Amino acid sequence: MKSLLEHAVVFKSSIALERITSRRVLSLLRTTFFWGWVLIGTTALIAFSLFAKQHLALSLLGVSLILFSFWFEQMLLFTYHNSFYFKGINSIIGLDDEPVSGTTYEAARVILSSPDDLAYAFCTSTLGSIVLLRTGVSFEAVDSFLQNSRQKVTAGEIILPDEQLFSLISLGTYLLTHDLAFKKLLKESGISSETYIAALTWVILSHHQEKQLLRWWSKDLLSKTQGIGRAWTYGTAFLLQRFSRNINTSAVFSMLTNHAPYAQEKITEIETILARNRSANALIVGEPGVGKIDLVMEIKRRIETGVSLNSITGKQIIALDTNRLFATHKEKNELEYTLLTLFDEALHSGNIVIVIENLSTVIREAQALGVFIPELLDEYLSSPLLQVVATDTPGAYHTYLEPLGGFVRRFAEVLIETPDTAATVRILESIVPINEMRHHTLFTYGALEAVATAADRYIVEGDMPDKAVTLLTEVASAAGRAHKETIDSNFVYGVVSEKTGIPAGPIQDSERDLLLHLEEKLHEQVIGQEPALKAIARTMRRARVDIQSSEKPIGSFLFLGPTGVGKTETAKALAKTFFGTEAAMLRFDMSEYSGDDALVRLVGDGEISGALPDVLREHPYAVLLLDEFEKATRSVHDLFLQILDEGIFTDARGNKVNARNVIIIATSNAGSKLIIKTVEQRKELSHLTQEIIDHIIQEGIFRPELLNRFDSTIIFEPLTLIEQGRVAKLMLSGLYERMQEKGYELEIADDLLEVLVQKGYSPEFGARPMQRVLQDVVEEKIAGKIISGEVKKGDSIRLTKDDMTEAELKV
Amino acid sequence: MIFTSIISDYFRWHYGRAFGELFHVWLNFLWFIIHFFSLPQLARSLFSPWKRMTEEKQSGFSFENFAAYIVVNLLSRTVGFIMRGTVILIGLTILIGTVVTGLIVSLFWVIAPIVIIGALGLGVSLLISNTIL
Repeated sequence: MKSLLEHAVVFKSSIALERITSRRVLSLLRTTFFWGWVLIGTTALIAFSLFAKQHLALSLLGVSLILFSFWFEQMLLFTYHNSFYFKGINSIIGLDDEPVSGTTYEAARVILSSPDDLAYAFCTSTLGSIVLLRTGVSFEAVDSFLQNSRQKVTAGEIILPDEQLFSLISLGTYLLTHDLAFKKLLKESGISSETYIAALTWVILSHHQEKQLLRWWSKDLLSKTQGIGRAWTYGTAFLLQRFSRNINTSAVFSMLTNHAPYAQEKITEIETILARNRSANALIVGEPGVGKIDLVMEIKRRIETGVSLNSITGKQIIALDTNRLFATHKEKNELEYTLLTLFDEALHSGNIVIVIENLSTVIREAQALGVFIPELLDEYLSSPLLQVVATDTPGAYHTYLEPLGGFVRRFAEVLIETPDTAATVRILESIVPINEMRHHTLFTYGALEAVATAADRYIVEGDMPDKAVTLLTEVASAAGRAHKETIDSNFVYGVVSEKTGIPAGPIQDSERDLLLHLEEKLHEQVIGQEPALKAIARTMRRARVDIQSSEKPIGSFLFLGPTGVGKTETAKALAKTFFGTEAAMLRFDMSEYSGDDALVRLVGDGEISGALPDVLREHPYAVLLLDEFEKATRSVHDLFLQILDEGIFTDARGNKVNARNVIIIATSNAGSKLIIKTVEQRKELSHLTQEIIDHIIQEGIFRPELLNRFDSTIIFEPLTLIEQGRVAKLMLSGLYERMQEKGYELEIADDLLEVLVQKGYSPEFGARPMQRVLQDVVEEKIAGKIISGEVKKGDSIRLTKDDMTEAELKV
Repeated sequence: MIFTSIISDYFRWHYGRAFGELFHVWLNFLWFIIHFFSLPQLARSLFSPWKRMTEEKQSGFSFENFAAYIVVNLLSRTVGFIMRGTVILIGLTILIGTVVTGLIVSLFWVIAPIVIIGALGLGVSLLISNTIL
């Protein structure tokens, strides 16, 4: 075992050579010498044979020989440098399992630049700087770290075991674990070890992958050339080619890098299916945007470059253009004839794999013309000479394909799961460079994580990783417009908040103030209900700092209490506070969902779409108010059991509907009598919440599992007389404003207000009678005055107790 | 000093590790030629019909059908044989050429530094003698 320094010293001469002349200059010189040698040599030959000028020819030959010797010397030097430059590259990027010992060229160059202070060497190297930039550490922090006195890690003290390759990834990791000052630098910059390691791996691997492309003589790159004559043993399917489309251009991204083992596993699975003797058909099931067709593309590429399984060598993968097929066939017979001919030809060719996207849609479209595809294609699917790879979504698979029984059994199912956030980040890593180049910006690793997390949490349309890819493009474009050089997670969350209207990411000052004083904000619209508003504010604060699961709605509440005590008003206040407008409150009167067709009306069936998916797709960021929730059927309650738990549900067409960006508020009058009784007995309501919940369960109004799914069950108390007075004032302020708009100044005297409050007070019906009293008494009186001409525009109207009749004042 | 170090390190590499690396690259080229000309696949299907263009055998004997069957199939297989044979021949030629080139390069590699010095010396002497004259 040798020390790291001893291993690095092996590269000393090749590194020195690159310092004298860079690889680019070496290449340029080599090319110049080569062409000089060839051109002058040819001229010498021409001069000698055509013009018989021996002296000139020999002089030119001399020059040519000198240039040849320079070129050849450059060739040898370049080969020498390559030998060190590419050392261990296959091992790093996962092409080779063979153990390689020593260091990589880059690691040696960094180590030798400052062997007595590896942290300094790493931080001041080009790749090290990029790693720190991607990690999100500022240059100022790095400068101050390097200037401070600290314990230094030296290359001499690290002993490298045999058969272990030491790359810059190893160096970066070593510094994290052994250099306390370096670890502190990351900690003080708010960077976790995981983020640093991930950024380090990303930067260094990408560098090596780019480097690998220069090595055209490697087996990996040579294998990318398609062999000739492989399809000559097979026939040609002319009709299929007419109805085929190019699948090379359909993919937005590719998750198929060497570091996506999940994708590799799925590729092997599909290749193994295609290599079977009979019924070798695959049905790839996955949500839209998870990369189903990318997998097919990758298999096509592997076959063409000869790296697929031997038994599927020579297969031709052709995607059926179903749009063109249905656009050109309007009659049953025509379509049947074309399909049969097309499949016959393909069968005869013997090497064709037909790709059918969205199989269930194709079957249904054909069925509309009276063609039953499962029956028509059954014999082809069982043939060893023809194979089909179909794709579909899980919803459509369960709804339309599973009931077809035998037909589906002709396919081996390959389930593509939606990638999680970590896998999505890896996919984003591969597409970031294109976006960075286009918008002249740079993503930190934290920004990539933020894109993946925010896309998963806040973007409703589409599936992962597709929606993360779209968000990444939007963020890059926004940064380009804002001339922002470095994109961090805050910027990503800023773009997401702007796009969705939901506060996302770190809490900003204005939002912090709002959250800390949420109770007061809600009180501007809601009178009384101190404990209820406090409970809501507590839950919302928890939700905002992501203590709650992100796989649930933002918040969910069950508001219990008598009518007219401010339940709906609180929902409106929440909509206004969190989504900026009261219009962001989606109200469902659940008494309309109490019949047998309740669930169908709510989530739809195969034909019509449901009210809930429609409204959530149109307004994914809102307060969903479920009024009189207790009146809905048990099946509707069961649906909400799932929504409250997972924040997601499937509509009748098998499509997923996202409800994770809504605040769900269910209101109910259940237990009102008990609440009123409790208040009348002047007992402390908060102590009796459990008693009320038990009562509701005993009565069978809500099942305990449903009640437990809500983040909080909030009891709304009946209003007191004083609160009723404040409600009346709030209602009157609205009336004052309306009158002012019409050109009148209105004033209600205190003595009249007092009587009106008493007249409108009802613990059982809350503030509703108050509204009626104001309409019946005050508005009626004003209308009379205006119609009779007693008051004119610009006049002031003052109403006192004396303006009212006794009947009007009667409590 | 640094030049001496580079030159001595170069020679250690040139007459040591470089041989193994050249051999490795040579194997890659051989593999590529076999892969590019699809030699095993074409050899296995040397007499197969060209793109499966064949006449199906009709049920019941008819001289005309039988003749058509024989002629079309024979023609298709002949075309297939000519095409595949040509590619195999070209492929094999290049493969043999690469094998031979590999051997020559290995031998040339040993004298490469001398070739550089020789070419440079000869070039300079030719230039000087013919320019002065």
